[in-house]
Amino acid sequence: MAKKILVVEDEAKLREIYKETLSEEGYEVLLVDNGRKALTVVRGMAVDLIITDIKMPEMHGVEFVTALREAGFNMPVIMCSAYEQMKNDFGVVSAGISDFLTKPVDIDELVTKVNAILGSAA
Amino acid sequence: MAQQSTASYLKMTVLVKKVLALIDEFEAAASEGFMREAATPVLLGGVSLTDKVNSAIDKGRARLVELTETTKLQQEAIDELSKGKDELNTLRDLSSAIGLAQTRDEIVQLLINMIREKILPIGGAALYQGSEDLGFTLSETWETTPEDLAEIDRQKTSGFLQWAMKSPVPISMPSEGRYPTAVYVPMRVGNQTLGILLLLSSRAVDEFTQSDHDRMTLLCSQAAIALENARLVTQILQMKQYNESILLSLTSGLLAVDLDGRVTTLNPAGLTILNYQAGDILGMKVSDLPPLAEFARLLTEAVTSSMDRRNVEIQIDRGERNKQVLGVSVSPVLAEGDRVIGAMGIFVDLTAIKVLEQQVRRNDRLAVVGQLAAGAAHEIRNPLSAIRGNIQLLNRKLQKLAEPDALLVKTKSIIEEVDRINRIVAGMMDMSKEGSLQLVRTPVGKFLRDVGYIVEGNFKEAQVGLDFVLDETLPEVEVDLHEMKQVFLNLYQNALQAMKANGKLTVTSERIKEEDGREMIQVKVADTGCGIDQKHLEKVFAPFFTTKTDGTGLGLSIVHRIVQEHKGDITVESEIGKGTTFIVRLPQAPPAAGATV
Repeated sequence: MAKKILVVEDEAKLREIYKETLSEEGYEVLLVDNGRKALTVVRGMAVDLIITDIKMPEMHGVEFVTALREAGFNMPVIMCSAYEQMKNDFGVVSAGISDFLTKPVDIDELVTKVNAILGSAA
Repeated sequence: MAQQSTASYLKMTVLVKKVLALIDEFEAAASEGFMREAATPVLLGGVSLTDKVNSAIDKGRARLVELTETTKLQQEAIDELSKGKDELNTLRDLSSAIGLAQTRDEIVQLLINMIREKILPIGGAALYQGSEDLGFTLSETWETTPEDLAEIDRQKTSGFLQWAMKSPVPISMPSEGRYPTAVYVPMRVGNQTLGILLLLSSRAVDEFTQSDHDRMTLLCSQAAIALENARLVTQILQMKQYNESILLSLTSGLLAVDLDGRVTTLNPAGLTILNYQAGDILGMKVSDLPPLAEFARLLTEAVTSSMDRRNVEIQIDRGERNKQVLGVSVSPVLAEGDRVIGAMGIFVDLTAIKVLEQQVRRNDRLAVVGQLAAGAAHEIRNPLSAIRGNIQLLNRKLQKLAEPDALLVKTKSIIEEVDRINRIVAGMMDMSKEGSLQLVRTPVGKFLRDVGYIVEGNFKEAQVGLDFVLDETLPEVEVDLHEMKQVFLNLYQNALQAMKANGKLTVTSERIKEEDGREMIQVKVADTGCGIDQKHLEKVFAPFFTTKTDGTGLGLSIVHRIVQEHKGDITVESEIGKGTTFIVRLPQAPPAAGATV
């Protein structure tokens, strides 16, 4: 069974790029546009990896990851932001973060990082 | 002359006495004869001989007495003359003595001695000073006992002082103290009474002669002139000292020239500001000193136009790297009758202020642009992500086609351009970043060399030398390693781009003291490249300023921001064709905790 990746991103076009890229690699990709919806999804099904943006309406990425860890979920998370200094700026959650991606996202890099974390799609 | 006439007068008196004695003797002898003759009178032309002889004797006596009287009168006249001569001598003595006396005290003491010696006996004396408008007060006394002082005090209330103020001649009044007379001698110069000398004398008032008064008047007017001179000299000396101390304590420079434009005065502050030695500039024509050309022009204008000019900014030009900005106010120097006799300029060194102004302007500009850029940059990255992602996906699909190369060139180019936009965005975000620095103590030399290793390969490839001249004894600096690495990487890479093969980059480090006393580490990054045009030099730290075709114009802005965040500063010097030097100054790290002091 294909591994499930949840993408949390408020930009529709970016969501589509994530979906197309990762689907081609054989992953099952779920898309939501904010942290609150993402929490709902995680509670309803097993997710192998989450890729989340930071700046989003409703519940931003940092809030989302904090709530996720508090709720006891420990799946890997890749954080993605236009802020290069994110590692320093969001040091408070960095312990629970597996990797970072900087926008504009290089999809080759995305694939490399996802594969490194999940081993393979299957 | 007087002594001669006195001697002849005495001789004459002796002779007259002798003759009179002979006459007496003759008369006695004659009387004896006359008594004998009385019995038988001898008649001569009807007159008795006795009568004739007696009459002759009387005539002779009368003649002699007359002679004596005349001689006496002559002597008196001679005495009078010699007295006049004494007086002249006294005046001459006083004048020459007073010429040597310099203080009021000396002059008055001399005057008192002269009067005592030549005119009348004097006990105590007192000097009143002041003016007719403000009144006179007792300023000093000489040789007075408490009793005399009491008398002087009493005299004060007598009203004679006020009278003496306006009197051209001395006034003698009976006194009740141990001296019978108080003499008020006004000391006048022209119409002005400078002071009144009160003398207590043992000579009674009715024994004073007109001549005593006249002589005192003369002596006192002479002394008054000397007093006035002494006062003026003191005033002038004080004024001169005052002026000199003003010039000395001025923190502004003051330069004065005569009509030929030759320097007559340049105060110590001025010497420091203009960096001259007094001997090198005094007497020189300002127009002959090339760095002061603009200054010379202003001074000449002030002379020819007789007009002031305030707060003019001029440049002292000692070559490309040594320019000073002065704020100057010039005015003509006027003598009596508004005659122009030269010009003077008061100036301050504005160089440091100008540099600060420039920095403040630069910082303000950077802050505003930075804030705008940061907001915009973030929003640009999302659309960029979409473009780049889609092109990458397109790329992947193209690669599955039979002959993709021609199309791949296009997509590759699009990705490259997107990356270029992204670099600009990254720069803008960097420039405005106000992240907290993660400060680490590090030795300057090691740090500079570590950054050097990163670019070493690029320098070798371009056949450009990279030379470190480092003072290994320098204290440590406290820097954010990541940020500061970016500063020197940028500087090294900029330099490399400015140089051709065989160029050389020299990095030196030293310790300097800022004007405010802060100890700083100064690092110079000097290349032998093409140099930067003077007109561009001020703008190199401005965002988006670049002369390179593919530069973002943000590199040096970022360098500037990072150095500023480290409480340091960065400046640039450049000469076309010779090269450019960036000078970074960073504060020393504070003493390490637990370090031995």
